[in-house]
Amino acid sequence: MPPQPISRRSFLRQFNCAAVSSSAILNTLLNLRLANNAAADDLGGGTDAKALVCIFLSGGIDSFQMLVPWEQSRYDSYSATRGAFGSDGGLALDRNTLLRLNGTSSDFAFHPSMAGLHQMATGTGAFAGKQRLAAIANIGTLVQPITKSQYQAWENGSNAALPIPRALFSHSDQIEQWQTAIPQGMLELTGWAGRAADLLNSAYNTGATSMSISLSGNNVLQVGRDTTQFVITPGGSLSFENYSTPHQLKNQALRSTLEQSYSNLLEQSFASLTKQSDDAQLLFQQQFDSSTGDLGTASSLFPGNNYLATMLRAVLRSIKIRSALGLRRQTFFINWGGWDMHGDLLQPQAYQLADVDAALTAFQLGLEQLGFANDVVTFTASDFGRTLRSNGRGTDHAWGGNAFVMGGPVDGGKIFGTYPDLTLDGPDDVGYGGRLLPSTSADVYFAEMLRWFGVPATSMATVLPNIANFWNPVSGTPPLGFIKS
Amino acid sequence: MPRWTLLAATLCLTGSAVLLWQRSQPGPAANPAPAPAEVTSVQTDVVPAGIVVTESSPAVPPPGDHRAPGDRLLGDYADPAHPPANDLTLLGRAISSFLLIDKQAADRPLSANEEWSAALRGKRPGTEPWLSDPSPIFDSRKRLIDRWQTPLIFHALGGKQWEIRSAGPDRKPWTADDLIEKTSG
Repeated sequence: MPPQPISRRSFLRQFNCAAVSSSAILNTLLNLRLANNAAADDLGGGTDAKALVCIFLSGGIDSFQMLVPWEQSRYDSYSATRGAFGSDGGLALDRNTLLRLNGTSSDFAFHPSMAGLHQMATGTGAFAGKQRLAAIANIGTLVQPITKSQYQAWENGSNAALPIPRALFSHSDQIEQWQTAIPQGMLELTGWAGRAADLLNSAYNTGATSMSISLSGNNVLQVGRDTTQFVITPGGSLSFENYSTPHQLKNQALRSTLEQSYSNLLEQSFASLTKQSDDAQLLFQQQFDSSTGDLGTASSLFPGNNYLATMLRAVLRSIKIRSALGLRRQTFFINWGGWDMHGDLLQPQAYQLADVDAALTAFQLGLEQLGFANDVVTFTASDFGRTLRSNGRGTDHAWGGNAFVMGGPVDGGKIFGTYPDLTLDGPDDVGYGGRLLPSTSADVYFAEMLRWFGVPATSMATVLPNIANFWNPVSGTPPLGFIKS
Repeated sequence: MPRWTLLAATLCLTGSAVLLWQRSQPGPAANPAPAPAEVTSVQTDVVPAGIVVTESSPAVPPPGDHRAPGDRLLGDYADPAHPPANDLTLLGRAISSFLLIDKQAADRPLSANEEWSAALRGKRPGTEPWLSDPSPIFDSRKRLIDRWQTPLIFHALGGKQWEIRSAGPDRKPWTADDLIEKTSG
């Protein structure tokens, strides 16, 4: 039979169908590759259970007030850049009030409001003999390592091909990039914890509850291709229960509609999915409220009138019921905002840091008391660092900042990465009042934790697509070294 | 040759012939053709190379009248006849229009006043001026200023949204008399 001439209409129809089906095939192939990699690495072995807890300090925290140079010449440079303590518009903290670190970190100190975290870093007080907290200096979003001269050439247009994070210094763009770990932008919006969950969930978890638990509503960090987020509140899951009588009647009616059979496939699918979700919420709440979820005396460690502490108490309970939920891997997300301090820095930051300090200290003490200290790594992240120079009252958006990581697996008391030169227009400053070029990529920070969490070296690039620009996952060496080997 | 091809060629030829005939006919007496624009002088020094100027070309304004596209949007900027909030509204519109034209602008840093100034003056790589320089909206250091000559503060909210803040009459930012406008691209 001779070949039939193809009409324009039929060509377009077939082309569109091919395009649609090839997208599906590509997705399938990507998922198969993910599954094959995971199978090859024998995921799910052992009996360990681990959790990663992200405290996202949104607004862009001024973290050079949290980790401050204490050594005199370094402090002088800090003071000159920020404006001397007590001077008009000066933002430097009083050196006499700083909480000095010990050991190899003794050239540096913490903000006076970080007394609990200071004990955790120095292994003193409530954490005597247990150094649980480390800092990562001058960390930020990067696509690949760059130098100041390369960045300046890019700004001037002579190095246009240099990959630079998109929309630097802007809140939501940088929040997104910290959570996707793809600062050049991506077509499919998934977070690095979500991609890790896609890889690990079926290997480690058996329960109906998602391993990606958020106390701050939906977020980008935990968005996966296959795994979903499970949003809870400090009181437990978002169930259709515990409301007043009119709401209970409405909820009964809603449940009844979900249990019906529908001939329409869309309706049936919607009802099934909603019911699955409702069942998972009920199971979670059942366990959360049971004796398994009871924190006992650890509950009293958490201060009142501190919402972050209340959320972390719920995280601790969620970790305590992990076996009952069938979860050996969990990620938790908490957004804690209010750090965008352009108009006033010193007082508001001191108050807010005191809350963070009390909440994180209570959480770590609770983990220690309940025997979960070695199973949990808690880390901070923020939109960006802030300008070193005072704008007269506060500081503005910048780039590199400091992050903090705590837990039993953490090699505490140390500062990882390279603490920058805080001199204005110095070697690390890329302009506009002290924007620091990050010397450590957020990717290696995440990679270190994901390596501990169980993401195999061969799959690390699937979760962190830019990681090979900073570290070779199959090298056998840790990316930064803050997790004890 | 297939029949439909011959038919199409015949139709094309016929159509062309009809068009040529119509163009050769004089127009109706009631609607005489407009007189060609009267050109008194041509500023050839501002005509880009490669452009041939003829007597029927539109008049090219002298160099002093050349203004950047966004200037018209800021015509009443800092005009005492209008309330101060109007200034930020105008600037917000100028910025929105700029971002509508330059789709890639927001991918590069746009946070500090100096970055906005450079972007709007066309001083960033591969960009054209959107605002004239000099202009009353720039001070001697090329910073964007309010009507009280205080540099404006740009707050990059993200997602192509910014907050523009004027320090207000007291010239001190972050005080009660500040003026704030949100703009987006």
